[in-house]
Amino acid sequence: MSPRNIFLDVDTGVDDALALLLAARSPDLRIKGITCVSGNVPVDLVVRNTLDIMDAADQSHVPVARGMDTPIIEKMVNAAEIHGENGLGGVELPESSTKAIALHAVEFLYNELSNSADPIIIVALAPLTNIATLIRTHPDVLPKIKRLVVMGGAIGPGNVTPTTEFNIRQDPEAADIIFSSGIPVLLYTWDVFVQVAFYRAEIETLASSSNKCSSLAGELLASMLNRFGREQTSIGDAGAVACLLNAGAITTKNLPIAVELSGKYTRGQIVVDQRPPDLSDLEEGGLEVPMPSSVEVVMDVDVNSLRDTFTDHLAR
Amino acid sequence: MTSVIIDCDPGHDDALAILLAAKHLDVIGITTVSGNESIDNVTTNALKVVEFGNLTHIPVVRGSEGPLTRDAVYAPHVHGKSGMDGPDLPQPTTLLREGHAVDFIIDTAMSTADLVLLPMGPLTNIALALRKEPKLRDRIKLMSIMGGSSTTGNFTPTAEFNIYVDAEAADIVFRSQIPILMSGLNLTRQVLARQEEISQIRAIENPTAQIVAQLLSFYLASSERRGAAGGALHDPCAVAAVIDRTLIDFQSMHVVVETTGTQTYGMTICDQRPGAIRDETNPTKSSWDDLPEHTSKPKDANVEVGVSIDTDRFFSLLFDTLRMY
Repeated sequence: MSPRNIFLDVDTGVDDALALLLAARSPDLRIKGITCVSGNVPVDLVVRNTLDIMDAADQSHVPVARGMDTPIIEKMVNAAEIHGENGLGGVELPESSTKAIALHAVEFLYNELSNSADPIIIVALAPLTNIATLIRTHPDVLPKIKRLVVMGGAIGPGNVTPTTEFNIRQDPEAADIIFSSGIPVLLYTWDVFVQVAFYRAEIETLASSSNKCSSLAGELLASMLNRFGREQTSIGDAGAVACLLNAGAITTKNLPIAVELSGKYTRGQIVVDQRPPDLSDLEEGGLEVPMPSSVEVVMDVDVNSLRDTFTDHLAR
Repeated sequence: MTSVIIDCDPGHDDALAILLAAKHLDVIGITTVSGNESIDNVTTNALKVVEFGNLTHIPVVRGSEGPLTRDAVYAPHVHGKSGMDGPDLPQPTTLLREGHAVDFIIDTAMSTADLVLLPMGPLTNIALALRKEPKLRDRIKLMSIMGGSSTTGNFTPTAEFNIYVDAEAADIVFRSQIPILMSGLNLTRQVLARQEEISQIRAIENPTAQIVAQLLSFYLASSERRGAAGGALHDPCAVAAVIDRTLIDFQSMHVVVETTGTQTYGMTICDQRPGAIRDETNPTKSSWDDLPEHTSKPKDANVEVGVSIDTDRFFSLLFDTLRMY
């Protein structure tokens, strides 16, 4: 099977770095380009980290484009507390001599998609500002997006507020634009994000690997362990890429979805309707909740299988 | 014996809650509120319950005819047109207690030590009472509320019916600083009346139990029609929590009510993030204290949220109680 073309939209970020390494090392995927957006760290740092990681993965030929530096409406709040001041948990990489391309990420993505004969997969691992701007400024591009894999949202408890996850909370309007666009979305939520994790001993083994990418992944994971004094840590965004490589390891469900934009406590929460269908169709006391769209949500993951996908591809 | 007022909107499960409470708690009164059906219907239903339960010594007081700011909505899809469809019960002849539920709650609270409120419907009466007499905050020992959910909703994807109907009232109640036990859908959906349980009730040879079996048969059918595995006994959970606290596992959480959300109006937001639940052994310290700046830090717990219930013991309590009628 020839490799599938993908674009990645990132805010690198420790776990974005893991996702980039996994995608770069997978023979099943060919990265056609990477767009950067402000998120975990400011966009210029995202560009720097992305270039350095791609260099480390021997893929410095992949175009990296700088994108939006703030969400559509709100001001940016980065997460340096999670990812460290350098965005890579303090892991220092040789500075790549490659530069970001001159084109803005949104225009780059538009050109690439328009010129592609076939629709292409985009994996979005950050606030959805770039992708939302793309489809609002160039709606003709919609048919060229085969599928959008999104890491974002929480069905159960969130991470930044009781009900919201960082990527969606950072730019709720962007997420709303995406979910109501009709693009087929595979949603990899915080609920499954945290499940695909490695223990300290496993991470130390990875870090001591002779394979460059495996050892870098191990170092990045170790930085998270040490920052939070934990004994296990998730591969985060890399799990969303692993889903693409190992579709058999996930169980999905099509669910009606909306992004709460106006709640004083719930702004940025994804709302999915898990009630039996006829309950939401009741004529009496019917649903007054606008939920026009539906997405494919990853409900369950085979943790061991996705972990294997991660380590096996890195070690190739 | 614990003194309680049951504030309710009968309602099949409300009826069962009244019967359960009456044999174990000192029920000083039953107040009604627009909810499952109109205030007229639920008030008539409350009178029917005290009559078929031979509980006419308990006064029934009519309350609010609609939410604080919104139009009333009812749940005929669950409880039928009357709000308590199923058995053919005679029109009640018992008279209502004069006055309004809100004043009854205030007067009772001001004259009764350690009063416990058992709100089983929208929280309109309770909110109005708290606003009308601010001293209630110090007079009410506890509220054991059926309402909300720490997981999914029923009336909307995220909101439970009672809270959704009057989220503004719920907001007042949840911010009142009165101790609250919350029996939300996440808990009450664990207690399902199915054919098996109904058969056991039917085998109890008294007229009250026979009527309960008929009520639950209707309720089971409407629940099954909506895809549920049984009829969830929502309101009795909140009563059981007061009769025997050990039936239910509670976790301290910070809970707020969303009143401005488009999709999430009426949601009870229960902070369940790791670290948000405080360490009982060291109440001043939450593991959350170590977490990043950009997150919204949890506030102190204001609600004990029921998370699991011993259903075997709950049904034993229910069956034993019905045998007392």
